[in-house]
Amino acid sequence: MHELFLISHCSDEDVPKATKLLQGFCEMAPVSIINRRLIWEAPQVPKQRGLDPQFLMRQPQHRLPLWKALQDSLTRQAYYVNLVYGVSRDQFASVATDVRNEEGREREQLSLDDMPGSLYWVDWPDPKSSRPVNSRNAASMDNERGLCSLMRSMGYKLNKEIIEEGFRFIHGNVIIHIHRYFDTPSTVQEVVKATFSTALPSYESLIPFDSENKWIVKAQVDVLNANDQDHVQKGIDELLSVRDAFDGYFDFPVLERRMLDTRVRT
Amino acid sequence: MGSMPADFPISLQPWPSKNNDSASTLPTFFQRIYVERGGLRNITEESLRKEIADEEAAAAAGKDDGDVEEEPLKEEPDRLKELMTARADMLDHVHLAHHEALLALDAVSLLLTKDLPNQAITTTNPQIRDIVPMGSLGADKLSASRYTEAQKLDNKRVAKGWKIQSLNNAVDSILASATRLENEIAKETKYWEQILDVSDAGWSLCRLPNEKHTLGVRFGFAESAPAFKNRSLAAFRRNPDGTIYLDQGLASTEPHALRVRIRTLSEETGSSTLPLPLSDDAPIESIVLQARNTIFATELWQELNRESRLLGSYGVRSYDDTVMCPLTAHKKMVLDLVPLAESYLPTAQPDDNLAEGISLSLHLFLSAAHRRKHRSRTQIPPAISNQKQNAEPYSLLRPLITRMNHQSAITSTHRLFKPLCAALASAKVTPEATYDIETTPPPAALVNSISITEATILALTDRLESIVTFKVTEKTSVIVKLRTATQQVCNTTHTIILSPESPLNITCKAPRPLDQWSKVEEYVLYATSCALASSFSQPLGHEEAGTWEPTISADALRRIDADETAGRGMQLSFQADLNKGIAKLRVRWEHSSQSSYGADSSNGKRFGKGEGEYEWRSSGDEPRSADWEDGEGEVVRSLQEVVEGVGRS
Repeated sequence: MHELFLISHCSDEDVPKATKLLQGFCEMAPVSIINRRLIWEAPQVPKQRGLDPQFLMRQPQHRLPLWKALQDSLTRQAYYVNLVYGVSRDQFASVATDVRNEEGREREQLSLDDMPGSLYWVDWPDPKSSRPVNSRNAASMDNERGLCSLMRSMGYKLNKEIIEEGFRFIHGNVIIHIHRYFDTPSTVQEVVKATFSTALPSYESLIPFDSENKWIVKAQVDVLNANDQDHVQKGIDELLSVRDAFDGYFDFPVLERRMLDTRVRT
Repeated sequence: MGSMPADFPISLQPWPSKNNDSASTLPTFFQRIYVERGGLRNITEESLRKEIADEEAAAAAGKDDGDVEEEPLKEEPDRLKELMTARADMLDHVHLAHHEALLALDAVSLLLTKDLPNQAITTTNPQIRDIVPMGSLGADKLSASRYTEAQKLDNKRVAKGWKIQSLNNAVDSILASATRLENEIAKETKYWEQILDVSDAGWSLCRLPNEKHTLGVRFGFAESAPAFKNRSLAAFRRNPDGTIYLDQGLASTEPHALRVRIRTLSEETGSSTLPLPLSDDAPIESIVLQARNTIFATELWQELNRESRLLGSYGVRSYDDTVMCPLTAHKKMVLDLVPLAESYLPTAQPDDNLAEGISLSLHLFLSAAHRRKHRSRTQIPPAISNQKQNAEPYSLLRPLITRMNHQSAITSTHRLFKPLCAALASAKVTPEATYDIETTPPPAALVNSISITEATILALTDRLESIVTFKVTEKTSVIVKLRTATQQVCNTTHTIILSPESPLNITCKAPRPLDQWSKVEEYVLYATSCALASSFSQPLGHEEAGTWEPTISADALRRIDADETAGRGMQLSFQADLNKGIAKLRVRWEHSSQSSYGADSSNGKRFGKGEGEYEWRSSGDEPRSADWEDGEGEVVRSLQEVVEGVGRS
């Protein structure tokens, strides 16, 4: 799958107005999203192991081509891979209870392996071409369980966890996200690395990723086959119509490849 | 020549000509000819004359064309010239006036220098002061002023009159502009009041994208088809009297509504109510509401037409301006889009409620379809690929057809089982045969993910399931599952299940899911007779003399009598029947020969000795029995009695 996208940013105080504009533009109410993103780092070995064949055999027939394409990319190079789990606001612990302090009350510590999640991998962007948008190879395998074990079987290491919070809008084929990112406290990070537990820290303990509290606006269109020029052009046209509609409000420049490099530096 | 002085100028040049036109001197002439014509060789008098004639002709022709073009061009410079000359004139006049005024000033100040030297000197021109000595002019009254008092008074009055007139004019113009301003304010206030009324009623106002200074209202639906979305914005424009009217642009403003009529055997028996059209001076928010209802009805009509093309197999027919859909065996509904007219006077008809209900539900289904479209549009779209997204028409008639089918299935259920149970009751079958209908609610997983209104609609029109449990005998229950769903086929599927301990599982197995009620009826009647037969027979392998044994026909039993010669016995057959709403239960016994085990006896009514039949019937009131052997009016015997008495007489 190929992802065509444009990225901009928005300051914190402009976010309510931005969401109202997007609401009117897309004619829908914003869908509130909170995700846990676990960033896994590939081992720095000369030959990558790739996906576990046992896992591949268990996949349904219609998903196999997508997994195989992913397998090709992951065996070639060491990448950073994201595992995304959707959570809701009330799953965050309240300030009073701490993740580790569970005396007197046994809360079931589920492993993330039991929860459905998505595996999200993106390649580093295509070189600068005549296309007025950024584009890159991507794979997004939704609704899968046992992803943490899969990563471990490939020799990947959990690097860090970030919390992504924001809104999603849909306009035709274009998905528009407006998100901000948080770091979890380091104590919690250690626990998650060890046990892949589903417990979350309190919402208030999250540390904003960006000191200026900026939100990232991303408009993306997915195209199944990058070689089909008609589809790619259709995607580009839709993205550009979004860009032009918000001209003067959001600035969507074409970004440098190096800024979005997802390969592990050796 | 000695007489000429030495410095006498002599010139051999010709006298200089008066017209110093360098163009016409001979050397320049020759030069020009050489340059233009390349020499004198080709020039003759005739050619020159011809050239002149041609030029004149061309000039005359060109002037006519050039005149028209040049005139406007000339007009421009003329106007400019006019302006400049006028300006120059004006300046001249002003200068002249200034000059005259200065002269007058000088004259008067000179005069005044005699009497008021100090003040006068300041106003005199310094040049005059130098030329003319001060105080050199004097003035004196010669005679009395010719202005008499009356004239002076007159002048004063005339001056006053002029002043009053001009003041009046000023006042009038101010009053006129004040009244105009007041009118404008009143109109503006009315305009904004009406706009506020519309906004308070909940309509969303916005600027027109084409004319940014005009307000408009969005009365359409966000999820309608693009053709209708384009028509859903109307502008508010002001009438001369200040009221606003709705300008829908190119769309027609005639209000329409969907009318549902019920026809029973080609006679109209019901019609839905239509609203009356609004008059022109109705409040603007009701006009907006009428426009919205019209666009909704128009879209509903279009979607109904689209869907009716797919439903031919259910009897739905679409004509130019009507759609017909059968409801029951005798009733059908006729849909059409009618303009609202004042002369519509409804008369009460028996099926009005049905028509009204159908009209309301069609509107609800369109809203539900819009909701579904919104939900699918706001989900994450799949990656762009060759997979085509087929735009299915909305299901508007299908839910109705589904519900009708299910309801008719349930009615058929009642029509079958009620008389049947009554007949069984009259035969005093113990335990009493009963039937029971239970409706299953829709699956929770489906209902939880959508809103309550959508869930209600879904529960009433889709995935309808009813379970009918018919208890015939102690061991035998027949369960009929009626399932009707909107997806794919709207007809009812009937699944029959027998209770596990029933002997019918061997003798009279339940068929695969059936699609027609008549087949279900057939099976149920047969199963009833088989169940009754099995209740009187011994199980296989336990044959004793003198008891009833099962035969190959599940609804017939035979008895080998111990004292009879081998091969002769009695055959007892049971039959349940339903005809025109009356259920009949018949028991027939006759002698059977060995060669005819379980063969169904002929329909001849002639019975030999020891043979006969007994029948129980259900009817609306009490069960009657038709007794072939005894006279009328006898006490009804129970099935048990009849069977036990078989062969004894």
